[in-house]
Amino acid sequence: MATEKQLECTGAAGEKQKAWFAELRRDVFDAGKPYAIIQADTPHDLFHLMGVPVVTNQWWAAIIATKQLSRDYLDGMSKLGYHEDLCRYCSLGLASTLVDLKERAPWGGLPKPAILCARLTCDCIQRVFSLWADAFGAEFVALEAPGSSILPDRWWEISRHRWEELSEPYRLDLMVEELRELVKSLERLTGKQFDEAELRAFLEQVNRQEEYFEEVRQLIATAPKCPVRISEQITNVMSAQWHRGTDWALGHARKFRDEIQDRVNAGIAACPNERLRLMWVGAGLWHNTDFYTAFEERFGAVFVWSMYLPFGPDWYIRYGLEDPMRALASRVVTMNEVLHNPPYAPAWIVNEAQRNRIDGAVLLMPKGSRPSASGTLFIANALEAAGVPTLLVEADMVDSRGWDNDAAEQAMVNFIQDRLS
Amino acid sequence: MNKVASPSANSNPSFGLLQEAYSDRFRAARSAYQSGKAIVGYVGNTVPVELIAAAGCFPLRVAPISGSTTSADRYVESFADIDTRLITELFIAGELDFLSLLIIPRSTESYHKLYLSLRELKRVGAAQAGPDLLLYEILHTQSRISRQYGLKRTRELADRLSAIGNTEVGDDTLLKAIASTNQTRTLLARIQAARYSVDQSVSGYEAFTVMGAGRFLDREYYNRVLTEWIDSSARSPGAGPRLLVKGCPLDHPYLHRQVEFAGGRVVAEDDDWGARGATPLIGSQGTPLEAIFDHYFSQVPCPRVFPDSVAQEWFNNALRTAPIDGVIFYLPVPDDVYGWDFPRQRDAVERAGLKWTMIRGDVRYAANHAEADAILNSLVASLEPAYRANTNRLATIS
Repeated sequence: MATEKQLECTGAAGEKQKAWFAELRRDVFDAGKPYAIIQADTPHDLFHLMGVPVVTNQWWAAIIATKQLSRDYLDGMSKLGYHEDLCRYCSLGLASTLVDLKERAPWGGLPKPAILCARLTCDCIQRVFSLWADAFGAEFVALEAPGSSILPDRWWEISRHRWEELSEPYRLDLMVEELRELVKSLERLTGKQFDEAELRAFLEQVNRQEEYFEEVRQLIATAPKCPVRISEQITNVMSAQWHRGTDWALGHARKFRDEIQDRVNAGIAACPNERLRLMWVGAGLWHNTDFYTAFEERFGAVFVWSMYLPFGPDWYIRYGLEDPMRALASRVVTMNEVLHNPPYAPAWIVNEAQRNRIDGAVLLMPKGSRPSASGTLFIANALEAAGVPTLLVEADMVDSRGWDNDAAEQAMVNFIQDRLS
Repeated sequence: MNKVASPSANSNPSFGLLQEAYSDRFRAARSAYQSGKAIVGYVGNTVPVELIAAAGCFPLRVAPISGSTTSADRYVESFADIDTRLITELFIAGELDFLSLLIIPRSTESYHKLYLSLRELKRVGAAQAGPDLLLYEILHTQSRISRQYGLKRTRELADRLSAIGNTEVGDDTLLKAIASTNQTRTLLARIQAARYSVDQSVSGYEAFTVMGAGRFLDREYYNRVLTEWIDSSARSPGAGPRLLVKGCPLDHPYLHRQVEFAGGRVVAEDDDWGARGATPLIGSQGTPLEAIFDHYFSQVPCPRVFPDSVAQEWFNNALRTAPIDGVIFYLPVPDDVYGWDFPRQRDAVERAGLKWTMIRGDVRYAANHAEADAILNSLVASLEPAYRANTNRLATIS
């Protein structure tokens, strides 16, 4: 099983996150500076712009899972009375606050935030974040998640320039108004005055960052063999996304692009033995990322695609920033839905499969996170109809308690031998 | 498909009519459709039926509780809420084709997914026809911004319904519709008072059935038959410790039945199918449309009402003032929403000095009855001595 890091910038990304979090704890504990806990689909940009560092809930959950602490936290939640069928991905961070693992808490644990922010996508979010805010005694800013009635299937063809049309003007009006309320909270918190011109410049920098990712995505799709494994794609892309729009993020995206370009130019493949190109559909398997590389040696089966890289350019880029708040709102208002719901997700993933010469798709079906899991069958059906064999893996992205590695690997072996060979 | 097998020993004719409607949920609507009426289906309890009625259409709540999901299972995950799987099945099978419109509110994430799934079924050709679909964008954060947004969507809904029905949705037609549904609410409040009372007690199963039937009947007819049932002397009496049900909304009567088998009675539910269907009346503030919207925006139970202090107001008030002996937390698999509220609500119940139990098996399925029986028998047995003593005391006083 190949677990070594092949890219220099992967190590740099990991170190950045660790150093940043240590600094955050120092700033909060020693200097009393405010920071925020927010969902992945909220406008991080406003927090960055207003000088409020953010911990992304899903990133923190992945850290907990990677450190194999999910079991202890989730068992602790059960003891508090939260039953076993409640969503885990979005609540693992809450668990890390309600359940005290003392010195075992990852990276020293989360300090008290000044503010929490979430979009009310699934019905559990308002509950999880309310409980969390209460536990910390912090403010919770909730953003509505209105549903779209337009639903263009080839959304990525209009998202960059025709985002007003994609997002529906009345939904944008709502989101803009809510974002302005959020800005007022941040102004109160920081004493800093919001500046729309600064936001425009910030979003332009986000666009440039995502354009580097666009180049990487194109390199991966067209190179004879995949130059970078998905685990390293994710580390590099997401560390930059969590800091998106900052100088560090832009610089890191450029370094990542350069390193991939060099590898492609030099004909370097992540797995020289590559014979089958796989896509991983869904959130990462954070408690066992080694799974991605477990089939390279025997079958030459390489996971070359996950959503984290291509979603950046396709969804984050917004051209036409005359009204930057409205452009930002258009990114927020449907952000989570395009990754999971029909028709957005099936159409996009089929297109990505074709673009990346995918031989087979593995779909994560996390029953313990129903909002992420629902829509998976539509994606599977669409892939199969497009001639891409699919395998559904029932597993949670952060909860290792139900994970049977032998059974999962055997299912993969059967899939490769029966459907792909 | 939509029939509920719920035998009752009651030979009261008005109860029979209401039970039949509650059991065969599409019957009255199909009959109205045959006579040329436009039928507008809706999902959940946050769609303003007054608008549908004002447009001259028949409002039908689409709430199947049993049946096959074979076709739906190809598209909708097995862990989705059962009502959405059943509705998907009906949609694919063409059973909803007689609807002029199906309104799905943005009032749970489950319904949002349902809307997206049904649209996709049409797009990929898995459903050949099916009614037009409308996502009713009522939001439930109790803020000025969300209220204004929902009010605009409600005006759009009124326009859409006017085009479907034979009547312009305006102040006059809305006032008439409000009067009719408020009459229902007044009648339901009388039933709820009887459920709580010592001397007029009524079977929880029977009360719950008649309270739910209105969603499937012509409103005027329902109000008339419901009045007859209330005024009749042949209602089945309730007996045993009085229980409040909290958790997932009960669109079926099986839990009430199980409780009565155990010797208790359900006297209230924190959902619109039961006790909260009774109150409050739609007010007269603002225009009729605004009054209707505000009712559904802030007064009806909905898991997306935010903040939690507003959402839990009714329950916390019931713990303080309602004559109850215990609470059943009903959180059947695959609940992933209401369980978040449980620890705090459990603590509130205990602070109120009440006993509680929890049921996780879906009692619509016979396979879960034995476990539920054991849990309910245990709860009722633990409440029985205090309840009996209290009842004797009240009888002596009276």
